Amino acid sequence: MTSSEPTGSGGCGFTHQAAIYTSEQEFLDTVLPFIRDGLDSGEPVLLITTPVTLHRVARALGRRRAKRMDCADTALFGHKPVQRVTAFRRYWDRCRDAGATRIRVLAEPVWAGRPADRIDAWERLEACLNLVMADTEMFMICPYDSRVLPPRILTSVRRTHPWLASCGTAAACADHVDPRTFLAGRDAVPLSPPPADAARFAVETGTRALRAFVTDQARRHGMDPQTAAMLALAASEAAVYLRWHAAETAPGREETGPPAGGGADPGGGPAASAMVNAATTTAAGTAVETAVGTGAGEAAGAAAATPRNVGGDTVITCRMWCHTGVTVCDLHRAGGRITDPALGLHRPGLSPRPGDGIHLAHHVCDRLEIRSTAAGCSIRLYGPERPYHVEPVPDPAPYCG
Amino acid sequence: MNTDIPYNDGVLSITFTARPAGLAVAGEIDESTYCAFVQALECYAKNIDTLHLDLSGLQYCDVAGLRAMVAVTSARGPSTPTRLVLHAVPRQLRNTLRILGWDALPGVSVKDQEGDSTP
Repeated sequence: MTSSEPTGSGGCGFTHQAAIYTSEQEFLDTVLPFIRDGLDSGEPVLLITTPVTLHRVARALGRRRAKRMDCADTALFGHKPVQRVTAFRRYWDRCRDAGATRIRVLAEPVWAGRPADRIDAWERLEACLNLVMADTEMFMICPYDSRVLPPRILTSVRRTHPWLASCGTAAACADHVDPRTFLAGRDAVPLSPPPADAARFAVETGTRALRAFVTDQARRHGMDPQTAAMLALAASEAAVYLRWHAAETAPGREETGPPAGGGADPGGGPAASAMVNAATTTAAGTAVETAVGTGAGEAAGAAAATPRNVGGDTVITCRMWCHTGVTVCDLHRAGGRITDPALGLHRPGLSPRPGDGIHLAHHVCDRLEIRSTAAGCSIRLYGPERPYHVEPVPDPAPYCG
Repeated sequence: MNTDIPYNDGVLSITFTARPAGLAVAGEIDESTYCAFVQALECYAKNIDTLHLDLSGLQYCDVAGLRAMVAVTSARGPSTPTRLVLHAVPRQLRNTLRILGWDALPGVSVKDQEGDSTP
C-alpha cells in the first residue's frame, strides 16, 4: 500500500511532495512508510540526505531493507540545481532502462549557509522539477526541517510542492501554485541594471567576436585562461539561443527548428574578426562602446539562404563587469519574451532541443538569471568564482553502512 | 552537398591524417562553420567503422559541433555502429564532453596526447 501517495502507484507521473517536519520522530514516521512501501513494491528507492540522517533512517528501517535502497550524500549530489536535476534524470533513466516503472526519491537539499541568491535558485528548482520531471514516473518527497529553516523558505516550499506528506498520509497543498505562475513571480523581479562603467560590446552576426570580448574582459578581471574560455563558451551559447529565439518568435517567420546550434550563420568570419579588434583595442578603460554592423548586411543575406539560420541579424549586446569578485556577463537582445521557465534544465541528448546551450551555461556558471521585460530578453551569467573544473555527480550506490 | 577534404575556410580546417587514418580538425566549430563540418563528417564517416579525429588544433567547439561528432556513432543505424576515437582533445572540449556525459556514450573514446583512454 502506498499510503503517502495520493493516487496510488503506477501511472501517476511525477509526484512531488514536501514533508515539513518538526521532530525527528515525525521525520521518521513520514519517510519510513515511504521507503518501505517502495521497497516492498519492488520500486527503486533513492535517499539523498546527510550521512547522519541516512544512517538514522537505515537503523530504523532495518539492515536487510536498508541494503536494498540506493543512497547519495546530499552535499555531493550536485552543487548547482542543474547538476541535481540532471542527476535525478540520470537515475530515472538508469532505473527505467533496468525495467523499473516507478521509482521513489527522498531528496533533502542543503540549505544551511546558502546566500539569498542561491536559495532563490534552489527554490526555483523545486518549481521547475514539476515541469522538467513531468514525463517520469518518479515519486519524490522533499523533507524540510521546520526547526531550522527560515519561514521564508517554508512559505516557498508550500508554493512549489503540490502535496504535503506527513506520517504516511498526503494532502493537497492549499498554497501550491502552478510552477509557471511561481516562476513568473520570481521573474517579475527585474535584474539590477548593469553599472554605468560596464564594458559593452554589440555584435550583429556571428559569435567569434563575442567570445573574444568575453575572454578578454574575464582575463582583465583576473580569471584564469581556462575558466575564461569556459565563460566565453557559455556566453556564446547564450547568444546563439537569443538569436534563435528572436528568429522563432519574429512575426511572419517560419519556424526553423531548435538551434542545433549550428544554425548556420556564415557571417562570423572576417567581419567578426574586425569587431574584436575594435573591442580589444578600445577596452583599455572600463567602458567599451563598440557599435558593430559593418559587413552584417551581406552576412545576414547569406544566412537567410541557409535553412539552419538562427537569426543572424539579431543584435546581441554584451555587458561585462566585476561585482564583489564575480565576473558578470549580461547578454541582451531587444524585444521578445522567453517563455520557458525551465530553460536549460533538460539534459541535452543527441536530438537537439532549444536550450541545450543554456544547459551547458548553467553548468559552467555559478548561476544564471534569465529575464524578459518590455526592453527585451536578457541572460545574465555569473562566472565561476574559482577556477573551473568539471564536478561529476557520482551515481547513487546501494546503502552499505 | 559535400565538403571537400582538405577544407579550409580560414576559420575551420579539416585535413586527412595518416596514422591513424582519420581527420584532423582545427580552428573553430561554431554557427559559421557548422555546416561545413557536418558535411565533411557525413561524407567521410559513411563507410568506415572507426572514425579517428585529431582535435589538437581545435580552438573552439560549441554544443552543436560536439553533438555532430558524437552522433557519428549512430549515424549508420543501430546495426552498424561507428566507433569514434577523439585524440588530443582540448581542455574546453573535454570539459563539455564530461558535463554533457557524451564521453561515456557507447562507441565514444577520448584519448589524450599520451594515448591514455578515458573511460
